Amino acid sequence: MAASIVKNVEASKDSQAPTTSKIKVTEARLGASTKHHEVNQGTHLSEFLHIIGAENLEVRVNGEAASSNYVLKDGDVVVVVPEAVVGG
Amino acid sequence: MDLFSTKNQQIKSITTSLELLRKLWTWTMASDIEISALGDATILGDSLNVTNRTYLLKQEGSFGHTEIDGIAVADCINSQIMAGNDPSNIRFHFHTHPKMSVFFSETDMGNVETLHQSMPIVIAGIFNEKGDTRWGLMQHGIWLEWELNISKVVPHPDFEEIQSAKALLSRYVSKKAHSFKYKHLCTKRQGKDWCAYASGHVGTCSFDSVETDWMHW
Repeated sequence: MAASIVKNVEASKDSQAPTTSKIKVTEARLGASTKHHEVNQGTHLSEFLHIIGAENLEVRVNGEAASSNYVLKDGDVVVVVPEAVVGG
Repeated sequence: MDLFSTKNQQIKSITTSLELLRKLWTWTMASDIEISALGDATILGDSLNVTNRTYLLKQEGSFGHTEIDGIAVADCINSQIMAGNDPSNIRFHFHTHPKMSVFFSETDMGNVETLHQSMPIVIAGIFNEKGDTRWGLMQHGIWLEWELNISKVVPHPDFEEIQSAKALLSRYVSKKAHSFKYKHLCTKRQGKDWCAYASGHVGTCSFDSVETDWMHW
């Protein structure tokens, strides 16, 4: 009987737990300190870029090219820079 | 070497080394097209030090334009993070004006403003082969400029150094043909050279000039 109650309590805890866990992603820009963000697991790169206000920029994730629907992983480093640094 | 001082801003003085000035002057003399680089500038109190650490990255250049590839910049930042370095120190932009005076063009100012969107403080330097340098500091939206001829304080690069720099630059810089409608062609130079004050600098051209068609260089 006691074992059954414990099981129910655990089940109740599970039902109240948040359904989405968080991951940590680092944002890096030219000439700025890195910023650490906590975002929902399953966040796409395009959503993250919208959150940090970095659309229409050159983007690399962990030093590699990534598509806008790339699903971010815990520990990813997202670097955003201008498309070109120019002089004339 | 003191480059600059002011009393009313966060950054009140800027320093750099003669070694860096000479390296950048050597690079300038080693290329007949524009080249550019990024570099570290560290803040200590109210002083900004442009360090010897420079990043020569994949780029394209012409006689009137230089462009560092954005992906190369991103990879540079990523490698600095991986090495445990602070990418916020990358706030120096250097480029050259071969066979021209040193001035901040509309392109240059547009670039500074773009950089300032992520960099709270931007320091930019333009060099020509005579040792003329022009510097600009953007902080909190305020732009300050000053000029300095380094030929009086920096030993002139020698032939071997320039040759060595040419070999180095050839690994990073590719020549790009630009098409552009130059409004002015210096008649004084009999078409052998293009006016430094083309396009956005029409009003300051000191030579007699004529309208031209599309030119490629």
